[in-house]
Amino acid sequence: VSKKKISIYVCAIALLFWTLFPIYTLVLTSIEQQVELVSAPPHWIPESPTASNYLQLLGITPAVSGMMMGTVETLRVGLLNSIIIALAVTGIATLVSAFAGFAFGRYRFRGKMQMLFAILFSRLLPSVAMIIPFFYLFNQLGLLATQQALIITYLSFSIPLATWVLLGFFATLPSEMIKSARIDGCSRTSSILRIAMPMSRAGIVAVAILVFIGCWNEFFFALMLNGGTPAQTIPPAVASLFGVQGGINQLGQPAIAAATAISLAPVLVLGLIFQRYVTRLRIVDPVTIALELPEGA
Amino acid sequence: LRGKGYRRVSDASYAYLLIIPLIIFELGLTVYPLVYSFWTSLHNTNLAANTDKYVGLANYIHVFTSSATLNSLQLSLVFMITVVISSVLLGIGIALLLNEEFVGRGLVRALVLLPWAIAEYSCAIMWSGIYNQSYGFLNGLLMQLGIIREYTSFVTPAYAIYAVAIAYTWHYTPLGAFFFLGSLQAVPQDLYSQAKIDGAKVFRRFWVVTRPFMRHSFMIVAILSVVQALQALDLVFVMTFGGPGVATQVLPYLVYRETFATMSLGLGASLAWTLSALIIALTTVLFVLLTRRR
Repeated sequence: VSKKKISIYVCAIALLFWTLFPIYTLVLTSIEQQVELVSAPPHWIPESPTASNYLQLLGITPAVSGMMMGTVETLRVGLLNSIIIALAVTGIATLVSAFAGFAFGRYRFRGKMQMLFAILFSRLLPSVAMIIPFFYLFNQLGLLATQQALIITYLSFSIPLATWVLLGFFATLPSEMIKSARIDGCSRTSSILRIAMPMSRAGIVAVAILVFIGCWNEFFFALMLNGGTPAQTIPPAVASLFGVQGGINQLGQPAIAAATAISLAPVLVLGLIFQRYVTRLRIVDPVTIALELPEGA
Repeated sequence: LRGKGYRRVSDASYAYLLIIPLIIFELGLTVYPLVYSFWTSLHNTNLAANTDKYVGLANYIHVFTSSATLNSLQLSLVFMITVVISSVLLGIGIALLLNEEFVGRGLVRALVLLPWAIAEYSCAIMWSGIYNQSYGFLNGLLMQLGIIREYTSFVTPAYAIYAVAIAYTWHYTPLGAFFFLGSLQAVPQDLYSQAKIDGAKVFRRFWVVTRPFMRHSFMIVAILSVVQALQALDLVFVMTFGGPGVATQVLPYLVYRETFATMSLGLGASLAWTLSALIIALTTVLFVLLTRRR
């Protein structure tokens, strides 16, 4: 075994520790009893592990306290809202961006660069800047505390992101197939639908996952627009258990950790899938688009 | 047959047709809110006091002369520099490691991206447990390793901003690492072998062979991390709510507090625009610097 091999394995172990230690502490907290959790030094392997928090929160066993009962309901409603909102946004954003990304990636037209820069600029604005107009407008329209409010808000940042990523994908598609389809009498629209889209399946899946994770994880708008209402999504629901803004958590760390872990489960699975696509994403910048990308479809 | 009808539309018009939905969404969901918020920043709009009068640049003058802004600007810059440097260096390191062949690489690659998929608010809950002063896992670990003698607080006025920055780096680094990895995979292997034959040592090989291929991903990751770090809010919001005192009151948190503590949307909007201008300016400068030599 060479010295190089040894150092590679040492680095790999260090990397795994750095990556997994925080996640492990969360899982550990969620299966420990409060008494064992506060022991010092910590028990890295729990002596009396329990799944009771998970079982109660998922509604498999009845909740042991009124507090827990309320939490189960909060989580259930939150998960449902999150699923509806994230799916709606993912569907609309992917559809709109697939066509727009194709146009930006393969056609030359006036105002293209300006539009691309505008899209990029819109991504530079922090959510605290966007919350003010959205809050005011939704307040006027009576849309505060509705699922639509979050769907609209999330579309505003998902569409630019998805368009930008997909444009890089479409731009690097080999032109021959699309061109020969066109010569064979295929209309532009059907060459997109039958040739370009299937060829870019990996990119479209990757973008859909990216958008879904973004919506599922979004916290700030979710809190400000829908926090504490029946239209609340999972992030403010879990954060409220933890005690946002100095509020007190009475639920106990293990139950909070279990709720957090439940809320993370879907995106962790998606993250594992996304990992297979992520190195194939080609993130392009405006200069590359102007100088290098092929034109014509 | 139908193809003939379509061909009468030029490529450019067809492209416009494809992006019409995007344009409608952008105009309605970005341009209009932005114009609106700029308009608000020129008014003393306050939902609690029910005021809404044109005040010109008064809000901006208040923002630029307030000591809270200066404090937050400093904190934001410290946070940003810490996150950018550590996530870029760590990201390059992770990418170089994952580009090597070793047993279990597939598993490591899959696991490394996980922190990125974990939302900032969940990171906040996780890292609060790690940093916890009375039973925290970091305290326990350091004690068992003999590095500290008694449990200490990590989230102190002097160090809280770094504690938050480390948690953020943990969350943010993987994405950049994978962008770097993507560009590493484009390096032709025979370039390495050639450099080896020429007797180039590891670091020299990296500098001469690998680095040119990483320039583009370097630019993307550097700019993205500057933007993300200056926008980061959730972590501070859940973990420290700006504290202890104002020790982690970064600019986005200040915007939130100024806006919603007293419902002064006008003042908040002017602060939000100041922050946005800072992000846009820094990004533009970085972009010009990093693409200059092309």
